[in-house]
Amino acid sequence: MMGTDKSASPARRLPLSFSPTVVAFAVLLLVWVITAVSIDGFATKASLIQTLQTAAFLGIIAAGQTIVVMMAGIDLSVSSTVTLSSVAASSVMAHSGMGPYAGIAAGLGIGAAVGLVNALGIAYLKLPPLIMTIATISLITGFMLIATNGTPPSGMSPVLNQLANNDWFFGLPNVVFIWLVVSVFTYWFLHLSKFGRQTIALGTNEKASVLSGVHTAKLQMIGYSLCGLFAGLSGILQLGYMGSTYLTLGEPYQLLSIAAVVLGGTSILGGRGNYLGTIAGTLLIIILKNVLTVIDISSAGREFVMGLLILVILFAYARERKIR
Amino acid sequence: MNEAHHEQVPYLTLSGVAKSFGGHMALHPVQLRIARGEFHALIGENGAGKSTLINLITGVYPSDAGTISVNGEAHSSLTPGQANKLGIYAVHQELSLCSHLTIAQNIFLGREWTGPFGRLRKKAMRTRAAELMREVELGHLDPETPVHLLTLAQQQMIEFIKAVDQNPALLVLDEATSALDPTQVDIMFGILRKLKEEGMAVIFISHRLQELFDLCDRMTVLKDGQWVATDDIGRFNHSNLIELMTGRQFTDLFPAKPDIDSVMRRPEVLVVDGLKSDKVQEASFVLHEGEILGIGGLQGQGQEEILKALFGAAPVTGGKITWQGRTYRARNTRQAMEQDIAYIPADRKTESLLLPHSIRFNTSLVSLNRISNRWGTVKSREENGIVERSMERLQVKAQNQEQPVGALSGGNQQKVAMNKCLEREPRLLLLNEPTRGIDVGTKKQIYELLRAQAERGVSIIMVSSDALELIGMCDRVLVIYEHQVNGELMGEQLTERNLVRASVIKQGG
Repeated sequence: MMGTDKSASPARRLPLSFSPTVVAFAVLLLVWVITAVSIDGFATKASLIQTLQTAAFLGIIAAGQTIVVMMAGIDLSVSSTVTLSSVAASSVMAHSGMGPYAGIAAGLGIGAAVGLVNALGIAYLKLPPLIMTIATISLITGFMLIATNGTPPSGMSPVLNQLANNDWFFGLPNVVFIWLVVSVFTYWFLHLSKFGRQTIALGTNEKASVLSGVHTAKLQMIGYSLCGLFAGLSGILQLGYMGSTYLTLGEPYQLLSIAAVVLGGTSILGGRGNYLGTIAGTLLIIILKNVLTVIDISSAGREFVMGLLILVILFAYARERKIR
Repeated sequence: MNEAHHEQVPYLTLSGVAKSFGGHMALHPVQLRIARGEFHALIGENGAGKSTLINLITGVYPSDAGTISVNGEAHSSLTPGQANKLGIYAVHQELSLCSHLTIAQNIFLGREWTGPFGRLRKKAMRTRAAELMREVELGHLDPETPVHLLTLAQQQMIEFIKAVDQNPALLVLDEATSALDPTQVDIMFGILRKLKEEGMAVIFISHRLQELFDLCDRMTVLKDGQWVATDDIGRFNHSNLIELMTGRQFTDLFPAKPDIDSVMRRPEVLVVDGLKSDKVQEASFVLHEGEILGIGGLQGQGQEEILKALFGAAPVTGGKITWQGRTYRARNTRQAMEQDIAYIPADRKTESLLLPHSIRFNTSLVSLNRISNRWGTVKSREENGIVERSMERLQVKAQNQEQPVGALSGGNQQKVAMNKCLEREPRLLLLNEPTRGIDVGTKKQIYELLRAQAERGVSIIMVSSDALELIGMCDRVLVIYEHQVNGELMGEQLTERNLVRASVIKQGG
């Protein structure tokens, strides 16, 4: 049809010098500096460590969410996966005499299994990720209510407590160290391995990926399982951190994990972004949350202001740019 | 008597309408007059400008020049809404029905009958739909049937009566009979002839020459975007038509071909026996080692589906394929790739390349297994190697490997798309429209590359809608007509005239 060379026209150049990841870190730094200046005691080492520790629970979930969003998927069921894994772990430790390691294994295994079920529905039943993961929430919530009568058994073990609260390495709380390990893995997965290349390809254009020989179903199974696994990990760490669990434990993480990904500059449509941005997004959310706690407004007001701030930041730099 | 009638009331007059796309003249200035009640056939090879012409008439594209006069009123160009108001309606080969809506809902889509307060007069519409359906002998169907449950032919009929019910003054039928059997074509023609007496005019495009001769009064021949002839249909016959449609300027872009006899003596690497797939009724052919086999014919006859079936991207519903001496059937694209088969799609922007990503990302995507270690880490030195080598092979013009392919020209994009597949060193290369929309210089490079690959023993099948490209590049060409192989041309027989003849006239039948 067209026989001309259009490369010369500058309008066709794509805006790639603009990196949302860098902007995410810049915004994070800005917010941190403003907070440190205006709130006493925020810029202390203790406060910093406290912030990192709180952020770890969200950050671990958001790592999995990044993988899924990058393949143009979404996992709304991370909230119920977090709860389910903590309930499963505490049940195992309360009832069977199998000890902490069985509890941990149960929590992680169930997390990964939920992810796998999501992937099977999405890859083979061709359900949209949004619908599939909402259905999973219903299933899990219903199941937990029946199985626990509304009150999960309080099983705990010192091992889990230490895992969540102690600092075995470099004075860093263990959960922060675990977040670091998860982050290194996720960065490798998305940006250094062939799986990441294919994940990003799938998120950019499914048809072209299939014609390039990408095994989309396998990739979705890996991606959603990792997302479920990380949500499960966060669930048992929170169980260890608090000593018990409850049936709405995971709820805040549903939207916050997605917000962390998007604030970190990853496109919600998939295919573009960087995992490092998600770390910035996570810290940004936690700092804002802390600030709002210090300012002392009602919890309803806090929710409202939080939502408003996320909107403002999204408007400032994470709007979708049409490339095609 | 009819003739005098034509002269008095020209319904539609095109004077000097033309269209170019990005510097390429798709249609040079054209004059055309269509009278009330005139049935006008439009004929030409792929890319002759038929579709462009009717898109100007139906307002899909604005005209670059000239005027379109309807009923004596001149317009510089039309919009689709204006065209409808003036009584111009079209039925296309690609169906435009909403598959989840019922037959009745589709027939009245956008012009629903309403009563007081905008209440839909569903019963009245159903009754009218049933009436129309009886006229085309679809009376046995319930107007409440969702359209997706109908056969392709039934859908095409529904689309036809939907257009007819809007009392068109000019009805454009663009391959609107392609899914119909002869009985259904007769029914449609019967209705058209009745409407002719009421003054309705028709512009008719069909790959079946006989239909044009059966229905139409006059005919216009286009070639290479240019008007060639318009005359009473009685003045045309098969042989002078082929003459008029062909004879395009042959450009010297093509590398020398090997002697056809020596090619035919080489071992057969691919034997396709009675292949059936979507839009492929039956295809049987062989491919020799290092041979370039072309697949031609008018667009949409199932050429692309043959390639996709071989590549595992379309279902194989019958037949037997032998590849390199072994029975072969790919259930998905990965299995085909493992068997050293590569497919280069026609639409590089949506089927092949990931536009926002770099040349590097795109090139290595299909070779990831080869350049990563056992844990799956991509080894960047090896990746660099293959990307550099491939950019050199076809001289991709880019600043560096990191440039997003979306920022490259069409020609350079196609080079990246080809490089990415060639990097796996396929033994069978399936190409779909390998030079569509790219500049002449790149075309030449691609032709030379393909011939060089063939000389190294790679077997190639290329689908192209450009007859000259098939003739210039291929050792042998299969022509597809109505989803079947309608002719095989090679050596002296491989001429534009024979190719066009096999594209529009059923052989041996």
